[in-house]
Amino acid sequence: MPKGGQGRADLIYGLVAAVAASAMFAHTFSARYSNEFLFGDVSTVFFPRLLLGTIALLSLGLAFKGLRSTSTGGLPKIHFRRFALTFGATLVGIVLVWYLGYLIGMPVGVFLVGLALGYPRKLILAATSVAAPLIVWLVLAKFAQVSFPTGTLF
Amino acid sequence: MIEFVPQAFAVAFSFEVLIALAVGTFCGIIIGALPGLGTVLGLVMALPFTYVLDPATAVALLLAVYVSSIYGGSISAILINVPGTPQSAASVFDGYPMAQRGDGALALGYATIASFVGGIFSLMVLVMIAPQLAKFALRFGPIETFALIVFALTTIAWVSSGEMLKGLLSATIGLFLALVGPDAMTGQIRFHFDNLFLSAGLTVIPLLIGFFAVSEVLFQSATLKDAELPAVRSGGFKIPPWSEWKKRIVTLLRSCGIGSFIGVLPGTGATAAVFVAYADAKRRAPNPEDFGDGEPSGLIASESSNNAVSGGAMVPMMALGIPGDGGTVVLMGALTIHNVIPGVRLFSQQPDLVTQIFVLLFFANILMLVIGGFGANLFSRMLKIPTTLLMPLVFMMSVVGAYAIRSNPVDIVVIAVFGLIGFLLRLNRFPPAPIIIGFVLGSPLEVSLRQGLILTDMNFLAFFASPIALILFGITGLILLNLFGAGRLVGRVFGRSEPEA
Amino acid sequence: MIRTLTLACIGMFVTGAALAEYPEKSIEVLVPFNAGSGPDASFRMLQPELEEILGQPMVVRNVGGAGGTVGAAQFATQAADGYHLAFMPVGTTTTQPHLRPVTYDDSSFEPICMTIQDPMGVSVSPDAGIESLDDLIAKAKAGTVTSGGPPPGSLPHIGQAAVAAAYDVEFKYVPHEGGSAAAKSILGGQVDVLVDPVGSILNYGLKPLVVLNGSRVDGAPDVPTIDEIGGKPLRYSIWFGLFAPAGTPDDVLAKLDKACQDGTATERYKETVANSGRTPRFMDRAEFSGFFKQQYQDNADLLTAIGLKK
Repeated sequence: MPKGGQGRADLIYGLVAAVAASAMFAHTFSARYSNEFLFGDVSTVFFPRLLLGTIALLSLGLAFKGLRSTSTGGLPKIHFRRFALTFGATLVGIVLVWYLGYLIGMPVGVFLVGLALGYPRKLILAATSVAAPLIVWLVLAKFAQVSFPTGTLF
Repeated sequence: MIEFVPQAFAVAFSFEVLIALAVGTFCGIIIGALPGLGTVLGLVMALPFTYVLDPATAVALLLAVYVSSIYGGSISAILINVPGTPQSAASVFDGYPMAQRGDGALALGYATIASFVGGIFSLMVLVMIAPQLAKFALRFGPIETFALIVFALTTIAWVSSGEMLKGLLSATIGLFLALVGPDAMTGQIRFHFDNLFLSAGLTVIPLLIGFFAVSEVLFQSATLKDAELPAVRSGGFKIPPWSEWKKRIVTLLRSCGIGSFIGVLPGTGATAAVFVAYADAKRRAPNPEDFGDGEPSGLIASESSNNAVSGGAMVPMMALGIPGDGGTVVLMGALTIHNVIPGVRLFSQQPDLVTQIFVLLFFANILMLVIGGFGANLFSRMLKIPTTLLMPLVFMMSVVGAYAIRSNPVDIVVIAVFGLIGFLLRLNRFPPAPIIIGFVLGSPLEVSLRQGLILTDMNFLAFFASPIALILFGITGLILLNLFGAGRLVGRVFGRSEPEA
Repeated sequence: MIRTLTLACIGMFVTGAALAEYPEKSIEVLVPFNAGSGPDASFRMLQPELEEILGQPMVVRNVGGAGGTVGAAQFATQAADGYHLAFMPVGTTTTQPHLRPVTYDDSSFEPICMTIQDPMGVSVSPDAGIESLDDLIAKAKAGTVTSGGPPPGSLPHIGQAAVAAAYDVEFKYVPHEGGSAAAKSILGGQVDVLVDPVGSILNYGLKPLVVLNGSRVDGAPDVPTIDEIGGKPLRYSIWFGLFAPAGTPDDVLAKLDKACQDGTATERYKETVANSGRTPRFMDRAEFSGFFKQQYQDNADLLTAIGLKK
């Protein structure tokens, strides 16, 4: 087994990718992809299978490299808690924008992401969270008629 | 056609046209700089405003947005490591390191001037040899296009900074992602798992936003040291000294040439052209190891080629009525609505209009240089807020940009999913560019391959019968041989664990 | 009596007021293709006219993908309140539904009016040395003729399949991303034939051999119709129409119909459309509804006859 974080990471990434590629490959055999040939053409799954096979091979290569890795170097040090909070905040923000619409969801989302990142001045953050999405909305949606999510709940 | 120039200049100097150019340039730069919007969306936004304008003013506005939005993407690429447009994806490699070590103003100077040179170079190409170039472009049928794309894929080697295996893997995944959605050859929908929204496939901007912008937000969250530090410490605008330019003139011109040439050939697009130019510059440089670490040549190659594509893409649009890239599709639609029908008949029936368009393009580039130069200061100052405040705003623009292009919720999901994947890959030293290269080239690669197979009755060897294709395959082969040096192939790919810088 | 009259007057006033109120805000028009594309540009030519007549902005929303089916499917689920309309072509509404599973059919939409109808023609490269359709058929009988166009199921594809079937020959079809990509292949000599609206053919600099229509096309007065050269009466054209979701109130539809009629009658509209190589054609709601239903059925039969629909 590899000693360092780098090697372990390569091994894991490689295996995950190989499994995903193989699963997709198997999927290409399902009934929905049968036969829409024109003359002289290959099937619609020819090229995808070629690519998926290559991905599987390369991933196994990566896993192999990770297995045999002798380096003790690791991955960069990360603040897991802050990362998890930020990612969670972005997800919540996206869900809110989708269900409640941009005007409600985005300010909340911006605020949450800022909080998660640790911006210290909450008042300024709150003000920016409201002002920035609003300005963008006024300019893009009202003026330039760009399409914005309007929320699926109402 | 030269006889129309004085009149064209007179029109260009009229009040409305100048205002249109100025407004278009200013807005274009901002649209380019805000991650997630992009050139195509910028043109789509400008379109309704042109209805009430006369053709010259309308074209002025659109060309200004077109040209300056390409440049605008470099601003955020350099200052916050997030490409504002897909065409600036290669500018982060050297632009951001330059900014980090305090040379941000210099980087912006390089980017602005290189963009200007790229634009003017391709304009000259457009003016002088558009019809002939268009005729040459026609000789690139499916087989030749396939060969070109295979060649373009070799650029992965130069943007993988030592992690060749990971670069290849990312690129192949990118190629595969491009296949999700309708198959251009049969119309059958692939890999959508019966989801209506997925049946439209994925597009490049949400992928780019997720992979570069959102993953940057996440990366900052994981590694940021001080919450109070401003995101942009060095900005502004500084014109790099002539001595620095002199060393890089050849790179500059070659990148302009590559951008113009690839822009003329419909099918590959600006993003691919930029990487080809970058790879070429790196390959020929005396100091390839500095690329990716703040070597100005890398930035020059990227920014001059992406603007050069603009002029190149207008060649088939104007000479044949066939749009060269996403931006020219909208441009052509806009021109049509204003009764300017690009194509063979335009050159013969309305040469004065053609001259007018050329002159306006010239002015658009000039204004981009001027306003860009003065604006760079403004933008840098605006971005001098703490990273922890800036990143949420990047997140906001990501969501807006993802949905704006085609109102498809898949795109919003994409930015989250690929934000996470991008973060994980970045953590494990995967180079970020190959997946974008693969994605952009995936569909044209497959389509040209299959069209070629239909034309040659499934005989792949017949691909080598085309002289253009043969030359391209040959160059590709040489590059690969050179890269790997026959015997060291295996050792190189499954390399030692120390990546090169 | 007076009471009845008063009530009647109040009634008329109220409904009249309700009628007069539409549209009260901007109307969203969904175009199931990307900005700048043919269908998109075709609508944008009409957009300023409608905005002026209705007095409200008409906001275009592009939802491209899969021949327009993604946008059309989304449109079918939208509110039938008169503020959500769609501008869709023949392919998306009458051919695509027969070729793959979609969530809508002809009963999902209320046709309002037709705005453009471009007859298609068979075209070749001007340098190919083919002067007439007979030359082309002879070439097909003697060897291989390749034809190009958008992915299978589109009108150009159906058109070329129908022509080939009518003359009992085979064209080898090479799909492209769209009409202009195919035109490039024709001009480059890699592919032989493109069936596309005559206006587009002329814009690309291709040579039309025959028009698949009952009468000649204004932009190409010297090009014979298929009837004139003794062929089967093939009729293929790309038309665009304005639609509302099924269930939209009648008075709203009537108002839109009138606006459409007035909008397509303006000189500015007719000139812009003609200049771009398209053929303006107005069909009002009554006529278009019947036409639409007929096309939906006819195209189903046609696709089966050509062998595209199982």
